[in-house]
Amino acid sequence: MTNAIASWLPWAVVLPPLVSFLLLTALGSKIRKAAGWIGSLATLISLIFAFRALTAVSGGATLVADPLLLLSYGDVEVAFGADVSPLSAIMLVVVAGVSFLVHVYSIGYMAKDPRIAVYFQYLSLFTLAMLGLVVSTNWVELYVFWELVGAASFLLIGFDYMRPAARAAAFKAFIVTRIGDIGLFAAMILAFAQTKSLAIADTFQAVQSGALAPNVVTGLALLIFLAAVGKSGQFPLHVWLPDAMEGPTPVSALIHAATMVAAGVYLVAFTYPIFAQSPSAQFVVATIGAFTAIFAATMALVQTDIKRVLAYSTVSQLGYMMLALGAGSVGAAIFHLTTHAFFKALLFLAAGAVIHAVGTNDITVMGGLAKKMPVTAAWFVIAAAALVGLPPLAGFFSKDAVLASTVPGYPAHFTAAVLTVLLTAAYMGRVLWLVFFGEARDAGRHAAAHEAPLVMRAPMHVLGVLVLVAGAFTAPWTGPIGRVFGALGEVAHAPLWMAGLTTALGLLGLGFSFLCVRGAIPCPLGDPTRAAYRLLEERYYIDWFYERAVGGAAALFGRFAEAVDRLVIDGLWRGIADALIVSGERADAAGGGQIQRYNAVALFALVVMLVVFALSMKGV
Amino acid sequence: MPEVFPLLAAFVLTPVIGMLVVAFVPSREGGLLKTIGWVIPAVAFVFAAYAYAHFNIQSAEPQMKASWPLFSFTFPLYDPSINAFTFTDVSVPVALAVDGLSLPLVLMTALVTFMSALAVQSETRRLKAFFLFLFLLSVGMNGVFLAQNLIVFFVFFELTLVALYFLTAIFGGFGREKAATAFLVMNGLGSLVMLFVFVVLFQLTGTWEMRGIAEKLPLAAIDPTLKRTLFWLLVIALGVKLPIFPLHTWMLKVHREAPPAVVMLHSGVLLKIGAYGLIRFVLGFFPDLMPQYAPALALLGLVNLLYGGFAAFVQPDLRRVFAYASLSHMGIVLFGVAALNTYGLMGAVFQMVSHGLISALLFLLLGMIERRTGTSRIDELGGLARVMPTIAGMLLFAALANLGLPALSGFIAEFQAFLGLFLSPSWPIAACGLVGLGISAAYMLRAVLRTTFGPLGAEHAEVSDARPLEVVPMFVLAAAIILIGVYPNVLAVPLQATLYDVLGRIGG
Repeated sequence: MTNAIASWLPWAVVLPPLVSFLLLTALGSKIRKAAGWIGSLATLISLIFAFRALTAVSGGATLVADPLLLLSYGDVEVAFGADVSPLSAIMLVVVAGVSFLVHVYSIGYMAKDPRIAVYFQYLSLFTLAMLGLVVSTNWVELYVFWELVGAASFLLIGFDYMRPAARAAAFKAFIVTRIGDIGLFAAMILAFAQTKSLAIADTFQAVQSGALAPNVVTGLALLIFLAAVGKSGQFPLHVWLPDAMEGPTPVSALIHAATMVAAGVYLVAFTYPIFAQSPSAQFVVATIGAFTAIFAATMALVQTDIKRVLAYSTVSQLGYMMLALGAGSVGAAIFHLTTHAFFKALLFLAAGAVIHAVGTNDITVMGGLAKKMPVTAAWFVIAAAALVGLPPLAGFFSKDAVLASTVPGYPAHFTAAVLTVLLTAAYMGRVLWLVFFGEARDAGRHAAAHEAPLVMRAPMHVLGVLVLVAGAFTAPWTGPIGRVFGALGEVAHAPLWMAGLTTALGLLGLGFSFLCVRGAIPCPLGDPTRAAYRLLEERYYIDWFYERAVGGAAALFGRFAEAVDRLVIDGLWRGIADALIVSGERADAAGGGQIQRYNAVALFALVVMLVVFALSMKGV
Repeated sequence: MPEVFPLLAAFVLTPVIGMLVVAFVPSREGGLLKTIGWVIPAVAFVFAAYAYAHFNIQSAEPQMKASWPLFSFTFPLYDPSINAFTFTDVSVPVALAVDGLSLPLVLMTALVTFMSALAVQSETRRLKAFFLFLFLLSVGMNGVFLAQNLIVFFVFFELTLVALYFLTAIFGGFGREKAATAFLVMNGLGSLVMLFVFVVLFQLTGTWEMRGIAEKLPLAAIDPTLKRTLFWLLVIALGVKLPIFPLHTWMLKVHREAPPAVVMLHSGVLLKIGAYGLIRFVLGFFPDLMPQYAPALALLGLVNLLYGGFAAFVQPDLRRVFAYASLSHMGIVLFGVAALNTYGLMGAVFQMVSHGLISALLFLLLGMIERRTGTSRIDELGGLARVMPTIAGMLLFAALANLGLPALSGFIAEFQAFLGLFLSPSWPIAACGLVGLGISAAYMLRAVLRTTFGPLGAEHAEVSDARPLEVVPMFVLAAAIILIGVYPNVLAVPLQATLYDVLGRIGG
């Protein structure tokens, strides 16, 4: 490791949410009002330390904190360490930053919820797990935090536990991501089997020194990628993410848009030394990423729930990041991860303000809200434009960096990614025009709509400013931020023709959706009875298939096992038992006490003992 | 540790004192009986904790030995050197000692017994008889992991059988008699087989001492067929207790019928006797046969893991879900033992302790839910988080622990068991077992989410949450689960020396 600096900073970043989690767990509902502020303060402290860590490593150094030894015997050494490299420093700042803003926003959003303390308790747990994941140095530590992130997400999706839909969504999220996590579980064991060490650095070293066979490296990379596919909602494990929108909207912003779902991308970036040695694994990553990008964008076209549109959009954008990773550009992927965290979190927070105001998620009953909520509308439009990739917003630069990274060697992937720009513009345009412009479709809801309180608006302002300026983050003149991105490797710059092409496609999509919503042109997906519409509406029947085929098969196995138990095994034992009882009753006919059945066995045992002794005496 | 104080004897005898005291308390003194009911296990727990604190982690030898002469007899043994039988005096003392393998189990047993005694506080029927049998069970459980010779082991083992039979038959649900009978028949048969093996082992080695057998048996010239037969008979005998598929159906019945406090002990502690025996006897006495049969044991483990898991996925009753979950989790113990390396054995012992705690917590909560709602059927429950947030929250915690959520004890156990099996020749079986990680999440969450989440039935709208006293055992068990999960060295350090000793004998 080059330039390792001993430091307590990594733990200082992780510790505050742990303290607030323990505090909220212990005090619980007694501190309803204070819960949000405790959580916010903790994440703010984390954010400050994360910034300090970022400046410390911007030259390419790594901060190394003292590890905690938790399990040790033989070769097994589970030591929880905490390192901050340039890559993890960016992630720490993004996580702590968005988490802080979402904490503050939630104080307003959740104010009326009786379980607000539980909410912030879960949110602290999530932040703790996410920060811990980012600083991990040991495979077991990584896995522990990786799963805790998932558990916190599960708890928050099911926060509104009375609703069957929230319950089903929480279950689905846990199971589907768990399937991916099995990959990481196996990867961790494979790494240990090959290197006899659980330290991640040892695995990197073994891979880079060529000590591992090429197919082992590929296997390791693909197992890790499986976990990333689960967490980051990539095809074919994308099904849980849209359903996760059952959670409270600030949670969707933090966990299911900005940070946790990006953890898969971070995981691949973090373990890139392994992927870098396996071209076939890289190709798989790029292909899954490109396919997911365009595939999820098509499903976003027909959703009527504003959060679900954004959810499919998230899946699609995560596909972009995976594509950049597969194409070899960690810098582009993390750049897009950062800008996406800002503009997608802003979209969700703005959407939350809208939902808060009109009391529904259904975009088809909204309309004309720009007049009622001008601030929210303005930020939503800017964030949407950043998502579409219009200059000079953050998304324009990062998306073009992703596209540019695919130009050498991935023409098909590039084409899919460019087409996705058009689809992105179409589905975002549809939301924009339906929600904020035109006529109000539900007069009652429209009349009651109002701007969100300051505690909710302020985080949107901060994110909004970031969306406006984050495009410059890779530029050297931004100081430590630019340097820390620079430490991730060269980020490809899009040529002018590409910038022009994506901007034109973005405008085309927006314009097309405008005309569609106005009814000026016949919309290809305007008719719900058409087969194409049905296919997208039914999400390509993939969810249906999983529920029927996978869930059905598990239940079938279960019924089979139970039937075997009842009919075969129980029957067999009942036969033996009956035989014993009959013989026992005969042997015990004189007694007839209550415990005759036990006597039967005891007697039987005694007989056998005597026989054995008799046999053994025979030789004397 | 002062040698003058026989700590382990005190640990085993404490419940005997409890029985004597209870015998002299009139049965109408319910309050006094209940107080005795938890004080005695509390004292025993203090002894166990004291043993943990004074345990010498460097030594693989049994420690804190206590021994009293029980009986001795003269027995002819074949001496090959003179080709004749010689009469030998064989003494059988009540010998107790603790080593790295028994220590975690003793501690877990003491803790779970203590917590289940606290859980009994709401019991009202025939308290005197209940505590008599509970203490009898406790004597057996406390002694069984400490016994140093096979006869003493067998006596303690049989005590648990008798006590559990009565606890199930008298205090169980509607099907209690059938369940108790099924339990007795299958366990009785298992005991019979075990006793037969023990007697033959004595025949072959001339000693009842476990360490003596472990040293002599691998070196003795024994007919290989006989040795293989003994090996498998022992696996069957212990397999009834663990249980191993297809010897498990009695266990489902006890889980379904016995009172929750008893199931806490049954699922938490008694099943572990089977697992303990697998390591102490099967692995300890037959280290030379293990490499050959380890894949078969791993395969049995896989069957347990998946069979139990899939069956748990469709059960309509929480009790049966948890019962099949136990079956499934005992597959992990088999994985660990079959790995034949430190990682696997470590995982097996971790799983024994961890499952003991988690299972006890699950049945503790189940008892509280049953008492309040009158049912354990999943379709009759739902939305309990609304009326009993503490109980429901803890149930979710226990479910997450049971499905192997990291930072809780179940994960570190599963991880080590899988790590061990993956590093052994049976690694393809471990690969198949990975499916179990997914299915365990599915069955636990299905059962628990349907119970605690969703709309609340009108008939349960008035039930109350946990009372302050009921909260204690919940939090203590949860704290132990978190402690082992976060700082696994708390178990691994005292275990190491003994496990290396056990493994050192394999193949030689």
